[in-house]
Amino acid sequence: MPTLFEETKFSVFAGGKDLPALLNRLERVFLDGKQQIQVVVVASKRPILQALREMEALTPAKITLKEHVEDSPTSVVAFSLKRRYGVKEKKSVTGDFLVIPELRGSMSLLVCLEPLVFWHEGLSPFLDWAYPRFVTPFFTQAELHQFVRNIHNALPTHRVRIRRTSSRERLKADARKKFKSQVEWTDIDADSLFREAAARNTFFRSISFELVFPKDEKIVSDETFGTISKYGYVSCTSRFDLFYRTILQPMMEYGEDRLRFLQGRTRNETTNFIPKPVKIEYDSEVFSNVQQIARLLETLKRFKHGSCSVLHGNPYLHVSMLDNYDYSAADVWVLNRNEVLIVPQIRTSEAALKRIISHIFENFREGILGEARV
Amino acid sequence: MARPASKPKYDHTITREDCDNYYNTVLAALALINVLRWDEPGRKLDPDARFGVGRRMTTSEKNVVSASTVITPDVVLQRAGKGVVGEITNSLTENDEYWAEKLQQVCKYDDSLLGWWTKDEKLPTHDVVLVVPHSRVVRVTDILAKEKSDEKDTIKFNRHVAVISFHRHSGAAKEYVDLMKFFGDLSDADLSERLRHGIPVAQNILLKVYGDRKFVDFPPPMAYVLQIMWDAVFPSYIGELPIADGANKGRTPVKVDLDRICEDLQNNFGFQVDDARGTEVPAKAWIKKALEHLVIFGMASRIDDKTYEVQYRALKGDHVEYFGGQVFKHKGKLDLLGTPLLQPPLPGFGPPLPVSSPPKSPTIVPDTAKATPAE
Repeated sequence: MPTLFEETKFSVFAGGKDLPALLNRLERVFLDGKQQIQVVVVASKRPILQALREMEALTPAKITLKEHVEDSPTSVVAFSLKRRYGVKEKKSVTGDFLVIPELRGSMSLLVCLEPLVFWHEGLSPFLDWAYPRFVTPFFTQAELHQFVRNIHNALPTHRVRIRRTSSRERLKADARKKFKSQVEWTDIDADSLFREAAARNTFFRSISFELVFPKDEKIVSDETFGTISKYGYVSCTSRFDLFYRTILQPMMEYGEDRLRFLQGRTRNETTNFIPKPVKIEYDSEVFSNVQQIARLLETLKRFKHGSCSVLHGNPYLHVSMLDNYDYSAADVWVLNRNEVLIVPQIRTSEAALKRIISHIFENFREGILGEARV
Repeated sequence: MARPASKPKYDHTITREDCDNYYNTVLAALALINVLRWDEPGRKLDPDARFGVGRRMTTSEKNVVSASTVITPDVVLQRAGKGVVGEITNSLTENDEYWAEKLQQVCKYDDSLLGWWTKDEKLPTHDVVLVVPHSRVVRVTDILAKEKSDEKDTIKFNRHVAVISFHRHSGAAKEYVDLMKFFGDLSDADLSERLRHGIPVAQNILLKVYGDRKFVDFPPPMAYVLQIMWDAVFPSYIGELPIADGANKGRTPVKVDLDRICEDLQNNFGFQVDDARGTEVPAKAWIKKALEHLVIFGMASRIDDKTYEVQYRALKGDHVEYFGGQVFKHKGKLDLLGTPLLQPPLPGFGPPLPVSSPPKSPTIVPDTAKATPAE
């Protein structure tokens, strides 16, 4: 039961709808049963509230989206979402979420205080459906590691112990599967975890951790549990203010910078139709081994909801990628031993570029994203 | 009883090789332009060099092959008062007759051509260059050497002529297009000597300096042009699709205009017309033919001569392979297609001049502002 000084989901949603007040209430919230504070960073080209209100009428039959109407306009707005799912067994999930719009550029936060099932079966599929109106950012392993370090720096009395990882590991070339996906339960500090992962060629999709502190020569739990995913999802059981400052704010900053970097690459008269390519640079000559070009090609062929047309496969790589969500096109080249070049075509959205780059990072290798210069 | 012959199957390797050969020709043309524009002492591209792809030049009445005719060499370049006319071929045939005939065609460039970027459109002289695939260069030079020693001497040049090979090669860190001279000389002795030793041009530099060029002045394989139209051009007309329709599902009718498609392809992947002697690359006739192919495939319908409605949809797999397969499947119907390939006469040039070969491509405006060291 919540104490007098604690908030509940009801009071969080009913209280003053401005950011400081909301952050304050989330810091003091009492979570009931399987509830968690769950937040996802979302980018929207158009004002997110306007886009959501328009979506209310556009959703497919299995999704119901409805705004909680307030008496007076507020900056933070609540919506309820119901989604029916399941083939053999018909199920449904219902929940509420708050929208904190445009906190940094086009980046907004969706916040819910629901069990995990609402995220997995409700909000996450809804965001998939809403693409490319809404785009979730992606983060590199180095950035994920940095978020964890931020927590440690902000709370030096505590340590972050990783409890669970969801990862993919690249298998050797002769394996029938390309990747081994696994969920691993562990108890290890974050620095060691990321160091070992890099050595094993493993990358994490998400990590779950616990805050602990030393007491009487023992490690004692702070009872704060959190999860961070490389796609901008964060959950925690308490200390929301800490998570907001150390993870969510940097996520919005990185995400906004990345999307801004990828924007404006459509060719038109004002740019004299000159393409503005981006490059993924690697710190070693990855493509001096022809097998790596073949591996990248296989990766690109597996681009979901899109196509990959091969114009040249060996010794250099030249393919045409098409994103079937918004029909953006980009050519992908390997002309240098340490670089992938992505050349936007006539119309290429930042969302599609993000998807292609994220696909390469996740399924081939992470590199450093930059402006292509010769 | 004899079993009926099984229906031949589509072999995508042939389509892919055709597309690859075509793109190699694009690279060869750009590499040649780049090498000819290069100012070796200044170590930079000459910003004053003018060049055109498929520029319409007029032969003199003394031309032994085609007198008083409009011809369209693949590359025409003028730099520091000197000109070069280049013909590029991507044929891999081993038939000597073909190459002898090709060389005879090139003889028509050995003439006082009209169409240079001067007031009277004339230059005192120019060089003639034939660019061929590396694997065929010995065959071509052998023919020329034999002709030279032959009394008949049917293939004779009065101007400097050079046969240059092109091939791609993978360097230690980059991909290159190599140009190497195997026969003859250029009037620029230094360039001639450097070409004798071979000049590698980095492919990424061609992409940077000349942009994303995908066409030269002769028709591309149909699967190649259809893939570009489907992946890059039509989607740009669709705009934001209603997500409620769901990704990958359904068709989106898109009304397309032939002139607009041509303009978009020329602006983004080909060459724009610079003056009255420039020709469009890609040519309108190729695009019209491509649209007619889509009609036969059941993927578009013709509204009028210049307007079509494309039933756009997400295609699975490799689109070059898809369209290659469609071309193969509908070969019978496609053979009946009689789309004219000729372009209209030169605007402002009065009655059309006799054309000795189908007009090919257009003129490139030198990208002087973006010129960077490039060899």
